[in-house]
Parts: sequence; structure tokens; C-alpha cells
Amino acid sequence: MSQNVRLRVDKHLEGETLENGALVEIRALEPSGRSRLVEKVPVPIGESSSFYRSVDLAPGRYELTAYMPSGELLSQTLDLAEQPGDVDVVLRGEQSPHEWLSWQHLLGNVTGQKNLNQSIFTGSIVFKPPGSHGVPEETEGHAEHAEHAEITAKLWLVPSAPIDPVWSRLDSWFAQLVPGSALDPAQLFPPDAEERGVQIINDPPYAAARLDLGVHVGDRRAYLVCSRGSEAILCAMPYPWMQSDGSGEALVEASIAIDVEGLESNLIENGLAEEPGWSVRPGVRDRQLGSVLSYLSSGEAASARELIQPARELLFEKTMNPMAAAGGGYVLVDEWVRDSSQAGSDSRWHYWIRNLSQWFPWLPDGAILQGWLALRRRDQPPDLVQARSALLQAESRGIPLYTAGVRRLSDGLMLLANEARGKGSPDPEVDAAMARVRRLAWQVDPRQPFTCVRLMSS
Amino acid sequence: MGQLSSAPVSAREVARWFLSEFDNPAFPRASLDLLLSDAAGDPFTDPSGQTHSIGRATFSNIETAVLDWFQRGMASPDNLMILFYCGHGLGKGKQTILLAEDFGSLPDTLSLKRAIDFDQFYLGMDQCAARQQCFFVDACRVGTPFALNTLNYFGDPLIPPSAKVAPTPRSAPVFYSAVPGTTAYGRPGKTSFFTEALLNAFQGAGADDATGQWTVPTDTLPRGIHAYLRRSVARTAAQGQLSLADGLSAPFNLHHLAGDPVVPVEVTCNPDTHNPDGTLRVSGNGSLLTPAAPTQGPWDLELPYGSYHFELGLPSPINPLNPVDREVRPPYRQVKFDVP
Repeated sequence: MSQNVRLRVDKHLEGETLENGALVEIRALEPSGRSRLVEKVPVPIGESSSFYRSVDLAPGRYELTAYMPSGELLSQTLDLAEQPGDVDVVLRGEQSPHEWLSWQHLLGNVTGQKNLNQSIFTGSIVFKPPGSHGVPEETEGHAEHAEHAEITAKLWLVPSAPIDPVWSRLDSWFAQLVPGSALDPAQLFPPDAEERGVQIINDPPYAAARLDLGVHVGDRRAYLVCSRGSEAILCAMPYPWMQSDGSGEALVEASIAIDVEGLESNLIENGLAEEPGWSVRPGVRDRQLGSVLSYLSSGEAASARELIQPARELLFEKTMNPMAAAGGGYVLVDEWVRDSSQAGSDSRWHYWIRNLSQWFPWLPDGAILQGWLALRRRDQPPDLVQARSALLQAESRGIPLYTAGVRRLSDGLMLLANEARGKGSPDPEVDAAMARVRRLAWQVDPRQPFTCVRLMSS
Repeated sequence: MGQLSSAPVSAREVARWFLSEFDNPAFPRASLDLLLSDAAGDPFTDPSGQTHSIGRATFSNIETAVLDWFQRGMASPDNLMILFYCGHGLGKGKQTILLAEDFGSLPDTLSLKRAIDFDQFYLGMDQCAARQQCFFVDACRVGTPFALNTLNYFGDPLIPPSAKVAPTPRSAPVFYSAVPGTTAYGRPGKTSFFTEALLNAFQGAGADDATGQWTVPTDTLPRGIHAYLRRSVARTAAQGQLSLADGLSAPFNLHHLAGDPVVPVEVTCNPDTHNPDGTLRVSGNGSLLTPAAPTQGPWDLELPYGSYHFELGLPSPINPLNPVDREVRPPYRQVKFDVP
């Protein structure tokens, strides 16, 4: 006789629910004091009790543990007896510092209320968003060593197929970069780029820039530029983003945070300078993939792979959202490489990735995945010709949407360049593309799932 | 950029751990090479008490040692290769550069000839026959104006990468002590925070028993490192340091535990301002603990794996708090008493 247990994680998400939000590990606690893994299941996160994951469990004692995308660990012991009706088990997540930050908190982009209270906030933020839909606010944190910082945010929509003009302009600047130099972000955008305002929410030490829903973007790339004094960060935005389950458009936003933890003291042995103490983190409120992308960028690759399985067909067969499909590709690419060494493995990814590369020429990431897989697949020798063609095409298409793409592109071009050099016939075209991408890689913030480029030197 | 005293201490501790504690029937220890840059001298006393004179961690010595190590790894795909680096690093974006002792001995950017381009080295290691590889990088990953002048050269790769692939993909996780753009912290004359967290995680926080035996797989190790790192840097200047793992696609067991794991447990009132007034009793596994109340922060305990009963008393007029029963298992557990 088994009992139906209805599992969910309770967390405020502004009325929304992440369907496959967290991976919960169910362990049976044996009378001997040992425990045994029963199963790992994806469970929904949200406030609504209408969304839950049903699991049949035999009567007994269990421990339920959720690794949240933020890295928080929730655990609860369950004594399950035979009883009529279903048993509801609710794991409760840590409180977000502010209700409007609940999604960002869940995804690990901001620290929790408890940690925030413990931290020493050393900066203040003043937001003056040009073109903002709301009334610009001015607020100050309770600073011990206040540093005045004015942050602005602008969205640019740029015609970018087949070649992204932002990338060529950015690289021209990289090529002349010297210490202390900074770039006026407006110089990156061509005359036919459309500048749009963004909605700003300001609540120090955090803020968010939210992009409008219902905007016709077409084949244009979206870039968000956040500036703070002479420093600026350029973000490749996944915009507009259709829910990967096809249920409509998802909110795209970027959280902006002053790094409250970046402190120095004489405990430190060396005197190297810290990075600028602020960051921008784009995110999407996708009910299927929101957590997956966060797990991916935090290094919890196994959790990302397990959570993406239910959405796999939807992502690649329907291709309703090429940006989501590319993200899924980065989650699964190592698994595909590994599978290719075994006979009879699922090879549908060949078609998925080829289509992604061919059908969406404004998106570099499809070509990056195609080139990387041509280099690394194990069921045949590396296809250097296809890899070269795909990776050069990807580089010409512009800034990869995903940070993981910057890495694959850089690594792939490095392999091709060394291969050619090793054969005594260097490939100048590949060498030049590799140099450009490594310069880009030098400036990206690898902590972010979507590519964020710092537009200033140290 | 001065001499680090923490790095040689850390390297010696890791070497001692591999010589005395490391246990892996699938990969019995075959060789261990150690290079040090220690202003206090170069002896190394192994766990048996024997003292060895250790070579300096100059670029030339590192290159020789790495190439020898690479050749030993070529002997079989079933080999496991482990590299631990603790010292100065440069990094920005996704690039990581590791500096040898004689970095700075050449003028200006020529000094990068005495540094290692870790990104290329990592790719190059795919040419080694050994299909299990593991890298620990305990170094800062921040950039400097100096490094910025070298946009097309990031050091010597030691093993230049190639497009050739082996029939079997490798498992090659990298455990970084710091996320890119941040500093990794050492403590003068002591192990670094990351090394301490790593060695503690090997005792249990990084373990799992999915196969019926307690082992430290490469995909759960980072959770253990993170748990200890967060604890050890809390309330210090290093509190922003967070470890990061990469390349965890196909996990393998790095270490086998001799017994049950030891697990970090954090016990706290909610709000934690009540902690200094609390009286904590922890029973389980046949023992009773009454740890002293912390003056600040939570009770940081280390408990052997098992089921425990936690009771917390607070001075009146606060009503008695409900006790908590909790399974304590890796990577860590938090026990919270909500105070009305």
C-alpha cells in the first residue's frame, strides 16, 4: 500500500509558478539509521497549492531535500503513515529581501534577507533611467563608506542579421584597449538601432530593469546598457522571450546589484585590485527553464540536465523559442558528446542543432553549438571543415547570447588554430577570429547566464 | 605582488592528505610531485616523518614536472590525473593565468612567459590518454592593468591544445577557489580558506552514498567545499569568496571514506540575535552534546552522519521551543528554531 504525497516548494514569486523549479531528493530513513535514495523529482516552486508533484511512497520515514537554484538547501523529515487522502508536503524557501526581488532571489541573483541584514552595505545607488516609464527615484542606502553612484539603463534593438554591427564596433574598441580607457556605449550602436526605455525598480542595494512585453523585435538583437559613472556593462538580452511551454511571453529583466560582499581588509595577503563592485544579471521568468539556466550558470550541471528532461521535446522539436533551444543545447551538449561515443545513442540533436543554426542567422549560439559538436563528437573523427565554417560563421554573427557560448566559441577556435599551426599551416582567418573572441572573453562576466560585457578597463 | 606564505602551507597540507588519507581502489596512488615557493625554505615532511627537499615552483620546474606527469598519464585511459595549484593568479572574464615563482623576472609583458595559460592548458590535457582528470585552482582571478596589456597572449599553455579527440570523452572537473573577477584569500602562515574547505569536504561534506558506500564523487564535492568555505569566510574580510566548479559532465569517485562522513551543521534561532542566550542540546548516534552558545552567528557543529534530536532553551519569558529531529547528511544541514 502506498500513499500519494503531493510535493511543492512554497516561495513567493509574484503570483507565478516555476513548474520544474527545483530538484527534490527523497530518501527513506531506515530503522538502522541509514538512508536510501528513493528518487529525485522535479517539483514546482510558487505560492499556489494547485501546482504540486505527486509521488507514491510506501509508509515509512523519509527525508526530503531540495537544492534550490540559488544554492540554498531545504530539508524536511516526513513520517508517512497509511491514511485516507493525499499528504501535502511543503518545503519553505528562504524569504526574499523584497517581494519584487523574489524571482531574482530564487535564481541566486541576490542574497537573502538574513544575509543581507548581516552584510555591511557600503554603497548608495541613485537611479536616473533616461526614458524610464516610471518616475525616476532617488534613494540612498545607509552607507558606512558611501560612494555616490548613478546608474542608468537603456535598451537597444539592433538589426543584426547576418552580421551584428555591435560586435564589430565593440571589437574595434577592444583592439585599442589600454588601461584606464572607457567606452561611450552609444558609439556601439548604428543609426538604425532603436533606443527604448526600460522600467526601473529601485530598492537599494538592488535594482531591476524590466523590459516591456509585446514589443515587435523581429530579427533584431536586444542589448541592455547599464552605466555607472564612467563604467558600463553591455548585456546581450534574451528578448523577447516566449515561454518554452508556449503559453505566452515571459518577463525579461536584469537585476543590478552593488556587491555587498566585496570587502577588503588587511587580512588579505595580496593587494590585487578587485573588480568593479557592481554587476548586472539578466534573467527570464520562464516557467520551464528559469531554474535550469540558473543551475547551469552556478555549475550545478547535473541538476540542470535532470530538470530539462521534461521540456526536451518541447524545446527542440517545436523550436518555438530559438533562444530557449540554444540554452537547452548548452545544458545538454556534454551529454550529447558523451552519448556519441556509444553505439545506438539518440542522434536527433544533429538535426536540432543544424536547424537552430540555419533557421536563426541572427543567433550566434546555434552555429557555436554546431561547430563545437563537429569538433568533439566521438562517433567520427573531428569534422574540421564543418567546425571551422560554423565557428567562423558564429563569430561573424556577433556576441553570443549565452556566456557558455563565449567559452565554447573561444575554446573551439583555439582548438582549430592550434591544429592548423601544428600542421605547419597557420589559419590566419581562424587566428584573427580567435583573437577577437578571446578579447571578448577577457571582458565578460562569467557568473552570468547571458553574456554581459564590461565596457571599461581595469 | 608579494610572496604568499599561505600557498606553500596549503600545498604541503594537500600533499600530506594525498599521501595519508587518499583512498580510491579504482585509482590507487601512483605518484605525487610537489613544487614549492616558500621563503622559509623548501623541506617537506611526509606523513611517515621523512623529510624531503622540494624543488622550487619556477616556470621551468613546473613545465618539466607537468610534461613528466602528462607522459605518465599517457600510460592508460584508466589513469586519474590530479593537479592542485595554490598561488598567485590573474584572471578576467573566462581567462585564468597562473603565475610561477619567477613571474616578474622578465621585463614587462615578457613576464607572461613565466606564467601558465590555464584555459589552453586545460584544453590541451584532453590529449592525455588518462580519461579522468581533476584540477584544483586556488588562486585569485582578478585582472590588473598589466594583464590588460597582453590581450593576445595569456601565458604558456604547457600542453598546446589540439583538435584531435580520443574515442572516449574525458571527465575533467575544475574546482576554482574563487569565481572569476574575485580574489581568493589566504591567511599568513596558514592554509588558504579554499584548501581548508577542500580538505574538510573530503572528510564528508562532499560525500555521497549513492552506490551504498560513502565516496566523494566529483559532482557532490563542490557542495561540500562551498558549505565549508561559506562557514570559514563568514564574518571575515573574505566573506565574498565563493568557490566554483566547472566541467562536471561525467562524475567519478575521487575518494572513498573509511567510515561515515562528518557533516557541517548550522544551528540557529530565527532571529539569530537570541543565539548568545541559548542553551543547545544535541543527542543522537549514542552521544549528547551541549555546545557553548556562540557570541555571534550560529552554532557551527560538525556531526557524524546520522539522526539527531536538537533542543534549544532560551531564558523566560520565551515559551519553550519545539525540538527538531533532523537527519544529518552531506553536504550540510541547517537547523532553525523559530522564536515567536
